[in-house]
Amino acid sequence: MYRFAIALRYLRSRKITYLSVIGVAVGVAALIIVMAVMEGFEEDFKDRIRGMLSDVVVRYRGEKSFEEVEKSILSVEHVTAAAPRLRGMALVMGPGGRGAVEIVGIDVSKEVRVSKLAEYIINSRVTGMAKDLAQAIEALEMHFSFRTAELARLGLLPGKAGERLKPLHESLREVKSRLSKEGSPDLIGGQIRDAEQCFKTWLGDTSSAIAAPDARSALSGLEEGMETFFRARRAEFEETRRRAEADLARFESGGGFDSPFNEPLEGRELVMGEELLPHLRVARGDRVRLYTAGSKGLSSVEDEEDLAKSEFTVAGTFRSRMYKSDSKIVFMPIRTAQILQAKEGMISEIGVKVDDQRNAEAVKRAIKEVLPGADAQTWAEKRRSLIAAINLEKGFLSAVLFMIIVVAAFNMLGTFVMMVTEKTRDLGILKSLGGSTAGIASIFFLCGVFVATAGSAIGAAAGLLFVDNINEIEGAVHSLTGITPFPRDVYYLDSIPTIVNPADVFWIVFPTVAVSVLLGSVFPAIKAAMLGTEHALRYE
Amino acid sequence: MQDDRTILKAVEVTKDFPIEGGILPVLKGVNLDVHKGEILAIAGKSGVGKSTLLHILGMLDVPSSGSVVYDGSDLAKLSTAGRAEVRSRHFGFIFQFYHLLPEFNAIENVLMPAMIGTGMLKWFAVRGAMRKRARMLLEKAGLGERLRHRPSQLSGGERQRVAIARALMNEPKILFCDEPTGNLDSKTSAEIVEMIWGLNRESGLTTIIVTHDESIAKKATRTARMVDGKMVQQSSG
Ligand SMILES: Nc1ncnc2c1ncn2[C@@H]1O[C@H](COP(=O)(O)OP(=O)(O)OP(=O)(O)O)[C@@H](O)[C@H]1O
Ligand SMILES: [Mg+2]
Repeated sequence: MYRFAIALRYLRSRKITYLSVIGVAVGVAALIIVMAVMEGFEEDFKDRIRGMLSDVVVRYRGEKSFEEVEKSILSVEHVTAAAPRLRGMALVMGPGGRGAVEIVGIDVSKEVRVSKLAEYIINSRVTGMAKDLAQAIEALEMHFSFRTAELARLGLLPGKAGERLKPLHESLREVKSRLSKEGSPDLIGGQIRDAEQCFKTWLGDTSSAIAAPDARSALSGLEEGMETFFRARRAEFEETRRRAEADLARFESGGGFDSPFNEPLEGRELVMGEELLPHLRVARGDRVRLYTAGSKGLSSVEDEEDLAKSEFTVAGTFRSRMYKSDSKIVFMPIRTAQILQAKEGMISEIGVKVDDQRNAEAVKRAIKEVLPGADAQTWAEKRRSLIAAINLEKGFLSAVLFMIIVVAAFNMLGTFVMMVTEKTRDLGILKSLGGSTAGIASIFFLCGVFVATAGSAIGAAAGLLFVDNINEIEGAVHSLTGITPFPRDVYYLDSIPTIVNPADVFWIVFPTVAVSVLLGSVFPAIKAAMLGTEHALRYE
Repeated sequence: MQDDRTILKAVEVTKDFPIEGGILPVLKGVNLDVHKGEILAIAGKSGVGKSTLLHILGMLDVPSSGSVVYDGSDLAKLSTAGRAEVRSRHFGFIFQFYHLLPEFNAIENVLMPAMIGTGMLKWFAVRGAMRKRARMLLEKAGLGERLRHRPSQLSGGERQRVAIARALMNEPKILFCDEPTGNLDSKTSAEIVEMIWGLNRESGLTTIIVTHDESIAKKATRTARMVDGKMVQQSSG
């Protein structure tokens, strides 16, 4: 008992031990924050990979027909859907450029059930809308600028037009930049409201600054135009949202698209990654040419008829948030892909959807059993090297951050060694009061345990609090310094993704306590045990 | 010569200290009997080894050779934990420089021996009784008003009284005093001496007191004199 009392009293009476506590806390907090963010990114990243692939991918080279193969796969427990794919390479040509792409022949109604293609097509549409909206706002802003300049020239507005317009431009810049980031329907709805508010505030401020009735009526004309503009935007937005929701519902029940290009992937229609659009300089509904090694198109470019045959309509775009997919993949009906590559009746893989991620491994094994000669891989295995790289990075980063804790432990070591020297006489006194050598030595061990646990607890609490509010903190940093710690457009994300894994927290806190106690207080305790204290009692 | 009255006994105790370039023999074969209920003064010139002997008798230090027999058993045969146990249950110490724990107040200092001598779980059961005893001891020492003072807030004499209360906390069989008045003025010294002699009168507490002060030595039941690392004379009163 006395050991606890003395250890606590020693720690409390020395401000320097607070430094050790802070050191441990900073290390633990840093580890928790970094691990939570990395885990969040990893999860998001895996989600993107998986979204393009499906849970399990089966390759089959055997006698059975696709229908038979599909039937055996669907008979496996936990499998909810299967979709055939035929992959191939092609050269795509648009008016603005050309590029090598991977063509993936799919059965849309099946594909949307195994991958996230439907969601990606809708994402692309919504993001496209966000970009359009940003441009439209810019146009309205321009209109406002011209009118203001005109009013200033006529002498109806006091001051310089440029100065007067500054607040409007500044408030809109924020809105526009948010629109250029990842688009979600909710985000766009909010931005429409914000943009309208910017114009309204500016109009209110400006009209209260002027007296001339002429100018007032000019301003109210502007206001009317603005209101019409936003009414139209809102209607458009509601329409897009409605359509996106309808599409999703339809996909879920196995139906097709309700886009301006009804029933896409009929015959000569394709869906391409949206990054390809600017590259080829085409828009949805435009035509592109596609050449494959097996198609006649390549062998007889001169033939007018064949040339026409190689023409496809861009029926839609998708946005998977993986730049590589968005700039390289073109989907088309599997029939078309087979004809184009002269691979009648062939498929290259079957995407399989599993009811729960955790069953993917079991499903993989079961498929290999029911389909001898089939090769099945989970999505994670298919992207093994990427995932291994992420894990390596995570391990390395945590090792580096753990150095903070090692440093904190050395700080503890220094503090406690000093404390032992300083307290030699107290140790002698305690011996004279009946304390055993081991008992007295363990005071310093306990000091280490207290500092380590207090530091870990504070660090864990601070770290979790930080993670919980990470987006608010990012926002505060942005508005205080103007720096953007998290550029959303680079990461294709609305907010910083975080995942707090209780096991991670344990595997941060437990080694921290162990290492800082071992490193920081075992030696001082041994030193205290070895110390000759008899001498200390003879003198003052 | 095993005497009934003997409670503590030193037999041919030597102590050498390692120093640069050799060893320094300080005790050169000390024989000493401490009788139950007496006040034994140990006198001698400075540097002769009085404190060294007291520490060995009180088991704060081990002899280089020879043995210390307490209550019929040889203490050299005890483990360090066993020796700590004897110090805790049977011995009390008072030093010239008080040696209170600076981070703890008076009553906490007095409680410390009880805390050390009691297991963690048991402590919560006996804490109340122990606090009461500590308070009683301090009140008896005239420090009823100073229970929560830190050592730095007490005078030398007050500190020494706290130290005496602390030494009595576990009801020791022998009280070891190393020049308890060495640092105090004559009036305060007299008070401290009176306290120690009072304890002996009231409860017959065996006391060993190392001192320079001839007047104190004269008051003792017996006085042992040391010269050059040896006992030269043990005289009564
Ligand atoms: N740890 C040690 N190492 C070396 N020499 C020591 C050590 N402890 C004590 N000595 C020496 O032993 C001798 C006896 O010391 P001790 O303190 O016992 O004397 P003392 O009789 O109590 O003197 P005083 O009356 O001044 O307190 C001294 O010469 C001292 O220098
Ligand atoms: Mg001395």
